[in-house]
Amino acid sequence: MTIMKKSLLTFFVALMACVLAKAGDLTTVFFTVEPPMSCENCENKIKKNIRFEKGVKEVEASAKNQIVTVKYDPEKINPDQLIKAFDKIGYKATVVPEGKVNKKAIKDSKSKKPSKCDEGTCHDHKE
Amino acid sequence: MASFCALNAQEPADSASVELGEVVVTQRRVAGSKSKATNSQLISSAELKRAACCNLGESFTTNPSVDVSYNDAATGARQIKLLGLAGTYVQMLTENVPNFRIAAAPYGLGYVAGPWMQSIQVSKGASSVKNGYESITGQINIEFKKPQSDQEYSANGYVDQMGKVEANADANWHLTDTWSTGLLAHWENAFSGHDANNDGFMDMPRVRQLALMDRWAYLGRNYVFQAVGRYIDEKRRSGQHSHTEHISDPYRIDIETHRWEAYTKNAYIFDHDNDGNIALILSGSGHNMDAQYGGKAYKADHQNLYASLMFERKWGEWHALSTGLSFNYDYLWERLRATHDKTDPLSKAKSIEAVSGAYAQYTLDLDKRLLLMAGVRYDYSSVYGSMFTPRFHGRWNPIEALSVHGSIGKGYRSPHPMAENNYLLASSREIIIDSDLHQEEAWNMGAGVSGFFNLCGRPLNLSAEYYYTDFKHQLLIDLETDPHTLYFKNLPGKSYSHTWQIEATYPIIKDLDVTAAWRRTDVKVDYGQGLVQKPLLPRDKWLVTASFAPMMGIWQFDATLTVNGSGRMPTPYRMDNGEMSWGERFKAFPQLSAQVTRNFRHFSIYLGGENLTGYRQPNPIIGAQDPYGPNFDSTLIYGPLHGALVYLGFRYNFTRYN
Repeated sequence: MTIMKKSLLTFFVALMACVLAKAGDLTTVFFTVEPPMSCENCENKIKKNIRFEKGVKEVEASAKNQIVTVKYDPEKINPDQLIKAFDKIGYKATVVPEGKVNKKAIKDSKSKKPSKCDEGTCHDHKE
Repeated sequence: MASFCALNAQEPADSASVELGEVVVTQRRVAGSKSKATNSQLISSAELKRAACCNLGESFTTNPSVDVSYNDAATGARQIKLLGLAGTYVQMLTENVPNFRIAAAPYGLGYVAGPWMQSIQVSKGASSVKNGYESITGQINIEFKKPQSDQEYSANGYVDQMGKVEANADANWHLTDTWSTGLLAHWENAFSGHDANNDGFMDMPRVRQLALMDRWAYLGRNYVFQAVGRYIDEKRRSGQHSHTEHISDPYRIDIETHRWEAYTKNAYIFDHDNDGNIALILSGSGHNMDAQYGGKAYKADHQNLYASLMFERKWGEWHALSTGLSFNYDYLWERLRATHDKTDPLSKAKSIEAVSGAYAQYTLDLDKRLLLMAGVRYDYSSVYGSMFTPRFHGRWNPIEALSVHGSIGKGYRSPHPMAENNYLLASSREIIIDSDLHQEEAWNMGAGVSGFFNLCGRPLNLSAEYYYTDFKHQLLIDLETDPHTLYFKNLPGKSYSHTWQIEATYPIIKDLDVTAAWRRTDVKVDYGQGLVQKPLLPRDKWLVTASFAPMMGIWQFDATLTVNGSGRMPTPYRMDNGEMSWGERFKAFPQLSAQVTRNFRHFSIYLGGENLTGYRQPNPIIGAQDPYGPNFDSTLIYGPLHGALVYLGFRYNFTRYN
């Protein structure tokens, strides 16, 4: 292989490595929300809105465990901005440290009595 | 198996549920409720957005249990079929108030705009006695967008290849902590009539409709109040195409409808700890319809008043009782001319029926492991006398992954042949109505099992069920005995339906959900010459529906393929030219629909197609060349009437969270 081709190949591999490294460079953060999610409709409300925040790659919400999991690109967004995004849709979000996810989720889901969820929507506006 | 799973291996999710060592149960947009004794399915607005779903009649494309078909080739009247039986045996409710009865039944599915709906609940089998005695094969309850939900402004626009344009808009406001109000509007119009099969008739009717709904809600701690008013104005035009100007007296169908509905719900909660409450529902409706079928005419004025007083309370965690009184008043004024001679006078008929009733329903809920619901109703009709309606539902969930359910119950319906079936005037058949029609009466029973198990770390949902409906008395719409006559008569012998259905749902890969279902219906009726297979009904139905929503659902791809099996036509006859009027059976046919949606934060745009395989029932209108002649019949419909149809739409939504 000529030196030209070798250089191009090296450059290409390095570029791919950078791109792949960047693609894998996602951070995960866990939130609990107030008011708590009562049912699947509330999970969907959160997912449907948070997904449009720039830098968010994955959103999962679990009413059962009262945890919202967000995978994001730290170069485009940070947890504080995500908290503001929750605020825009009427939720007060709190970051849960990863080590505390198990216990806090279980404890919180048992202690908070979920408010009634209408058939087909999330909470009524009156709690 | 291991290598198959490896092919589909995903990276372990970071979600807490995996760390907790639990199985993530994917919840579908169509949720079968395992926490209710009845066999109910909730169709959410997310599921409705998988297809164009312009109105209720188009909201079941992806559902294997409910079929929607056209009654005839001319008027566009659509009917639901559940458990192989006509939609009239399904009780329609809007927010748990009986609706679309009698005169509103033929076109009722078109009176509910898709974007107005929050959810649809489909219950199969006899259903709860709370809403009356009229459900035989099931209940469909539509919940509209509520004023107390998140405040939003919404708009929707739709246009399709056939020249139909639709616009919807709705908004709601929270006026105070307790008062909220909402306004919903719908408008549609069709700008041209198509005739793709060149039989001289418009393939689909041109419908112009305006509908408005105004609603108010008061949600106090001890008192809850709701008031809703709705008005629908519709003009439906069909028949021989306007391009056929050389015809001196074109056969035209014109149907003009004005409908208003209003109801209030009042609930007083006297015991919060035990969900003790007393509720009063008052509802009224007025329906005025003026239909012309060539020279034949049918006019109907139906007024209804309904009141229901209910008392409910729980005892401990396990026991609940619901009991109540109801009163229903129907006033129907009909005028009919069954010939094309416009000088013939209209015959008149008036019917009044007042029904008072009482019910009691006991529910046992043993921690959702065992649910039993037993109800009895007694009603007295001023026309038909006493009705006794017992209903029983049971569900056993021995483990989280398995659920077994069963039900048995009775239902009744008062017969209104012309009001519910006047679209049958779009034929040359002579109409003969029995003078002494009995009230319809049937038993329904069914059982089923559903569950899930893990396949490669994802849940495979399976369900199987069987239903049997047996009529003791039935109003027969007899197209069978004589091809030139339509008889409305009492059932002389047996009439029953067996339905078997199996369904499987599985997320094949991440973001891709697939549902496959097979349903067999065996419906036999005795029209007077012994039991025959009910005509125009496919025996089998296969359905596969897939939904792919990558990138957190920002893009969505939906497709549904349905294959309707073959079935029987009514007995054919030999025409003057020696040919048989139609074949003895119709062949199986496929239907494919697909849609692509791109979602933005406040906006979404969708492009889709219906009946993409282009299958159209050949010769849906018999004798189309001579609609005033003796062979004209547009009511023998078993398949789609239009070919492939492409549509485009947008949805706008701005929610004000506070």
